Amino acid sequence: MGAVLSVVLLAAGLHHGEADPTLLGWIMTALSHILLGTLGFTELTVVIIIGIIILAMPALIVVAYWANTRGGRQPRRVVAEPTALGEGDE
Amino acid sequence: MTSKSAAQVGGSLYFGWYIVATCFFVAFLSIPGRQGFGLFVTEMEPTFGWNRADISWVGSIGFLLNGAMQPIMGALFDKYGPRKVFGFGLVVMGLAIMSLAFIRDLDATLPLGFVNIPLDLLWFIAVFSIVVNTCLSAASITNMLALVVRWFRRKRSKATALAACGTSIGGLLTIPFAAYLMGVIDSSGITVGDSTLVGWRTVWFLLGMVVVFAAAPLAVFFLRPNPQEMGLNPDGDPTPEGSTPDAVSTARATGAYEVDSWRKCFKSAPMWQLSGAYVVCGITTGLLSIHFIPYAEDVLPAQVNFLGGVWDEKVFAGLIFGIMTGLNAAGVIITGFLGDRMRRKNVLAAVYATRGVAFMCLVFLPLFGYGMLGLIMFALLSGMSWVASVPLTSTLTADVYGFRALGTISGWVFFAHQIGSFFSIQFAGYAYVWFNESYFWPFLIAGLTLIPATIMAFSINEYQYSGRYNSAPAPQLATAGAGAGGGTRLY
Repeated sequence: MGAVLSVVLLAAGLHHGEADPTLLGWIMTALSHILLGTLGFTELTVVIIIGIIILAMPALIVVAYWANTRGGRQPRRVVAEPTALGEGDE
Repeated sequence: MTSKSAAQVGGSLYFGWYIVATCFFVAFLSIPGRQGFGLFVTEMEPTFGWNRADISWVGSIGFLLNGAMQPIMGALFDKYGPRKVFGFGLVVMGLAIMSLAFIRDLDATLPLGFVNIPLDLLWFIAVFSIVVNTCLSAASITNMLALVVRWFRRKRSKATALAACGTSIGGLLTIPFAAYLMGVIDSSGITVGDSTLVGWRTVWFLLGMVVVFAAAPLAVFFLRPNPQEMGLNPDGDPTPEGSTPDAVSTARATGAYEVDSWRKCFKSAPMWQLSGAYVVCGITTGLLSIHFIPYAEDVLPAQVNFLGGVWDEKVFAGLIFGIMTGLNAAGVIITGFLGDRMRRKNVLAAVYATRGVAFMCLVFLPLFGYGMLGLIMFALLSGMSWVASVPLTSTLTADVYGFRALGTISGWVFFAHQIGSFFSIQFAGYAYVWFNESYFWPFLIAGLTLIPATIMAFSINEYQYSGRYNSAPAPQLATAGAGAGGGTRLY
């Protein structure tokens, strides 16, 4: 009963079920089949590429904010300019 | 009438998009903590001599706590704001993940009468199941979406979808990253203090560092509670002349059931319609999470011919699940864009209907000898509808009940999802035995529950209850392209 409950609860908190070790093993085998087998990447290459993507994300957010606020100033309040006909926002 | 958007007038990107990007990154990083669990424990098992039943308890306690903490963390989010809740949660979570690198093989057990728990396992439960999962609830997708909806009005569905797809992209990238990183550094390691970390220890440590030093500062800086705090309006719309963002906020149109206490929302139909449909969402996703593996084994032959190659059934099933995960991102973005152009309840109903068709393909095509086709059709259709229900449900919740207690209300709606998952997994296990070790009936019944879910979503009277279609004062803020219904969309 404890084992059944364990398995039941294992996925209860997830929207997906990828936490299941067996299923994850299957997914990784399929991924390796494609990435390492078909595409010919090495494990190190995959790690470096994804590692760069992970680290680039926060850096890009900060750089974009810095660039758009001209040196990190707070965004200023925007006041509408009345127009004769008005323009759609989209 | 409005003239120009904030981006056009101010010459800069609307701040709400930085919030979306930050939420995307936090969701992206939370994946290894949640879904990578299975990856780490298989590596840790031989180190500590744990068995799969021991490991299951770690996951069980953690995920149950994660679900139960959602309404509580939502309440804290409503009370203390996103910066404190996300910042504190991410820092503690990152430190806890880093500390997992230093777990020792204690070689002792704690007798609890009916079971002896290894002390090192207890250590793991305390850190991972309790601390990490509690913090995951603080930085959950539920709270993220409750924040994003405050910053957007016309583009609300699109913005929440983009934030939510961080989970899908994260699943695609961080799982292989963690898995291959373990292999790459298995023979070498890094030294921290007196300890040399190798393999899974290094990966825990590095992932924790990214959370502490990248995600947490980003959250503290960018996750502002609402646009009014920064003198902005939702979507970056300009403030009408002679008015202020605060006045605009006060004058916003509200849903018919806007509440300041989460208890009140249970007295209205939309809460039950949204939660009821979400229970079914939990039923269908929870069922697949545990029973997809044995079902695929039943359906597929030992060797599968696909795309010119011969695949082992397990590898092929893994590929199918990978395709489904990959399509999550496409599905959530497409429905997000549709949600800003159509009635959201219709898009949500279409999502559940699509998933229902996917289940029917999974159940009936194998009966006619098309097992592989059934799995492929299922992957394509269910992948498009898998995560799409999450941002749409959060957006509709905000449209109807407003922002004041949104974190708590969203937490309760998510809890309904968990209940569905919990019972469907149990039911499927017993039903498999009752029906002569066949998954036909459990999967068929789960698929059929998507019919009432579709009806519940479709029957939400969005035009009447949603603030999206309600008229309110401050007509100067009326926006173009108000969508179906023709009412001015003010908040």
